[in-house]
Amino acid sequence: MRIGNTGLFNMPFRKKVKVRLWYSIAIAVVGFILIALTLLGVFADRINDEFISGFYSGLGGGMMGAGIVTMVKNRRMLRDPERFKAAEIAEKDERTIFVMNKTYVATTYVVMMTVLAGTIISMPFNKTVAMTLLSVLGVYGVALTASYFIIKKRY
Amino acid sequence: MKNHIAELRKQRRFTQEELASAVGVTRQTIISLESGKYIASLPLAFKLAEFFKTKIESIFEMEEES
Repeated sequence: MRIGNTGLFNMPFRKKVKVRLWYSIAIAVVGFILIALTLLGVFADRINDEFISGFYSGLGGGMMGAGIVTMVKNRRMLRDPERFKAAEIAEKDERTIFVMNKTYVATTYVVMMTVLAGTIISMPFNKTVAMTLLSVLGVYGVALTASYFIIKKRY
Repeated sequence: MKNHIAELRKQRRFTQEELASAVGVTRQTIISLESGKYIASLPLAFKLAEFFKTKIESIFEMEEES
């Protein structure tokens, strides 16, 4: 199945904003659940590790906050035609897309080089960390190759 | 790639904001196009030609590479 045919990338902007609204609600709910589980002591009782409990409550708080902010932003956008039009132009603007694509390429390169350096440095000290980082590089390599062939077929 | 977007826009007394809105891009894109930092895509080039009621070749010009 071609990605372009799924409609995920070519859907009208209004529909895209509505989908994002639902995603933001889902993210806020997941965040809320994580906080609730932490407050109920689920992580503390089962895992008995304060750091992990703190991690889940922090992640939950972040997800809930981000979800609520995105939800409010998208709702305001849907209700205000001026704001909606400005957001649509900003998102579809070809220079913005060009800049974002360049940014993704540069960021991916920097992150992968960091992971590679991390793998080389950590190998003599901690094999688990090194193998985890190596796995990330492996997944990246497979994803890159697969994406290249899929996208090459489309154009 | 050289372009005459700034001259054409000024001749017709449009602001960058008005041109941006007419062709569906941000003002920043018009600024980048006019300064030659960014090269327009083919669809945008057609939109600009339609807006200025002229041919694409009158807006864009290939420069000899040295």
